[in-house]
Amino acid sequence: MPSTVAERAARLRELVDVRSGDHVMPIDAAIAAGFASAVGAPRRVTAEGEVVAPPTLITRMVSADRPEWYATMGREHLLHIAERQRFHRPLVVGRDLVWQSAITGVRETRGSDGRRLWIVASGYWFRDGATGEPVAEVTRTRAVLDEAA
Amino acid sequence: MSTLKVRHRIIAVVSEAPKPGDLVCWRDPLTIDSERVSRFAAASGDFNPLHLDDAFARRAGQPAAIAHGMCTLSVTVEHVLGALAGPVELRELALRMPRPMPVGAAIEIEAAIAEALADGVLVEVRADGPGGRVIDGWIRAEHGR
Repeated sequence: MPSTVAERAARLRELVDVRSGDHVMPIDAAIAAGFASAVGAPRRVTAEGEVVAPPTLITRMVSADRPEWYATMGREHLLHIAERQRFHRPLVVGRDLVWQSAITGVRETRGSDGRRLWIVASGYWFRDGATGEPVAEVTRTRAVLDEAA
Repeated sequence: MSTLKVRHRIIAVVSEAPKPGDLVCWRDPLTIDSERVSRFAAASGDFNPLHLDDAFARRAGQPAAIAHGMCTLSVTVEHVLGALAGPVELRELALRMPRPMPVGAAIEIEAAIAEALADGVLVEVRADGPGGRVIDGWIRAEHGR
């Protein structure tokens, strides 16, 4: 594992566009209910009566089962600065989501305080575990701060 | 023509067919307290101590623990979806988190119709915390099925 943040950023650059393997995660009823309670979401159902999780529960999939490259960023220097999510169909409780991820870009810049940081963009692609149909795409942008203030 | 209705909120413009500029909500307050952050950590699976441990956060250069960006974002999005009258389905969001949100602080949420679409609405969304803007961007919601 690279030791400095700069070394980590260099390693992340090497991983740009390298897709992870498949991750599989169920949309669990209890987890979905807990998430809905935490974020103030109402109970939702489809026209067919299936229970639907809050859409931003999609973050659970990548937090509870981190991609291989996640540890490289170093969590103590990490800030989540932007998020884009696009949904093709609702997150139906009881179904499995299959997803892959990749770092899609790394660039060095400086914050307003002059501190060096790296902007790391990553993509996540989700599909239904049973049908293979696309469910959602997520683009997540994080800032990895240099340890030297 | 859209049939989404915008709930009346203080000075909000109520419209059968939303128009750009119609307010969805205006400075609606919500607190991102430690209990909510703990529940979000459990539900999201994100137990990064940056969000849960003041001492860890200070070592990382923050004044204290900061809320998960996705917690503040999700709370804001659900609030705005709830303020759009009638069943709506989130189809897309693009939101920035310009600064960290301290745990225990309150946010004020504002949202307005940016565009009425054939099947829903595009909504501008922002939320301000103690130090300024913490959420900024838009969401696209469609009529529920």
